[in-house]
Amino acid sequence: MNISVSSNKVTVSGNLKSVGDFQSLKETIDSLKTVEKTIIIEIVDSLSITSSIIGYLNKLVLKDGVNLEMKVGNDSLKSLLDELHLSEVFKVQKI
Amino acid sequence: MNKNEKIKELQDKEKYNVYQEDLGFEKELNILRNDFYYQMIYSRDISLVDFMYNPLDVMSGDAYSARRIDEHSTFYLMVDGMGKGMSASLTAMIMTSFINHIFDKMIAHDSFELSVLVHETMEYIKPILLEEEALAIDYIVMNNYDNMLYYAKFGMPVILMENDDNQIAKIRSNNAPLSKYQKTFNISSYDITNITKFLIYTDGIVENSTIYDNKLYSDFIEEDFLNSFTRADLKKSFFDKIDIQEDDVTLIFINNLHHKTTNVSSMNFPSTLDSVDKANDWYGSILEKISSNNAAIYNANVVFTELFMNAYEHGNLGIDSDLKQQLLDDDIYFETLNEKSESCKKEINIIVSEVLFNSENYVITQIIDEGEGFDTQILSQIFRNSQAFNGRGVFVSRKNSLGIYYNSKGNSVLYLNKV
Repeated sequence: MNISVSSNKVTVSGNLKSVGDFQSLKETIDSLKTVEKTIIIEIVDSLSITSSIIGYLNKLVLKDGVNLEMKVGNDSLKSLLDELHLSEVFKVQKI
Repeated sequence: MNKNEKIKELQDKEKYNVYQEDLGFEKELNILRNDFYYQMIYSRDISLVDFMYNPLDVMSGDAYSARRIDEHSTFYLMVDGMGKGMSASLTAMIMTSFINHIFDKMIAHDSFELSVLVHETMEYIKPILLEEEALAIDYIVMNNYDNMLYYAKFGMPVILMENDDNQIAKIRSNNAPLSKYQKTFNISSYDITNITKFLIYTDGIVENSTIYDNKLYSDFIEEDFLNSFTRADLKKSFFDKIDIQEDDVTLIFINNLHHKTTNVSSMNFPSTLDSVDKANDWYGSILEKISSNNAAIYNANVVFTELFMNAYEHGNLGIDSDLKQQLLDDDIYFETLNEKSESCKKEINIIVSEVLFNSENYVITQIIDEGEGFDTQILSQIFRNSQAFNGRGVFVSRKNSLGIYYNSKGNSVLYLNKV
């Protein structure tokens, strides 16, 4: 997995799977949210995400009030987020 | 009454009917009892039990139950009310409800006896059945320690089984369909030592027309069953061969893994945060030796991360969902995991096995922790309500595997992936 940041946009390429991946993403977003109220996360090609990431992003939106926009490249991930009724909360769009 | 008022009245009536049907279906789901919801049978061997319940109408004429008698024995019930609609559904549901009630009483008094169960429930339903009504029903007890199956089948389709030589074996009904005039019944037994798979079903699946001229699915079910490693395989084969489902379809698919698996590797990991990624790397390297399908390896890896993490934090460290949420909210989750890990001597055992079935490669992964376990019945709520916060890890795991199965205690989980 690789994370890059440009302005308020976090781009994740490769597959998200480990606790280490979650920790890296969390650290990146935690630091970004101190200066940005809207954060765009682009998950280019990961087939799925872990529940830790889902839980963290959920808190980011519902508790911390961050305006999150998520762009996903993979259909399976889009379908998982739809099934979990998270597409609206995370403002999910297909790339 | 003018036209608009009439339309409004019809709309209100339709809304009311839909509401009543929804309530009725919810009650049906409460009547069907499944002690094996996302569970495996962990006796002399491991068996995976899967179900398919696809009613045609909201009020189904089919019903089933799967109940645990003791560590080694299970009771399966399959009911098919005659005809379709409300009458069939009422009969199937009250019979299932009563059988489950008697079963619960017997288990509470440690006195389960198949012949008593059949007798009592027959006597109960006979006065309720209409003059010409017939009820097809399977009472099946499977003992996985003694490897014996005991059954009273009343006018039901055969139980299909696959033996060690990949041949089909069948158990036919030993009683006519149940009517109000029935006085006696038979219970028979069958040695299942060499049986690897079982399929128990109502007639809806075999009597369905297919896309092939004048052929019913009964012409295909045996071959499809032999070629199916999981219920999902069989379900796909069925729906691939039909245009539309014509009746209620209910089946129980039981797969005994002992006869098929090859142990690939096993390893114990300590309960530390560091172990989570180490175990993931170890697991990934094993999968890469077995398969070159990167997407399939990734899916299995995601499930591993979720379920290993559950074994670590919920199992061995004993952190419940509320506490986890609190720790996440306070942003001290990882620190707390590290603190608790220091005094935790419990380990997580991983067993990876491989199955080659019809040229397909399956990986079976078992994760065993030393925690207190949990009540796996709560999973039914998670899967009925995917929006619930707790259990998303299990939801993600199911999505990325062919199935996940816990032992009855809830401290051992097994999952299956095609790689």
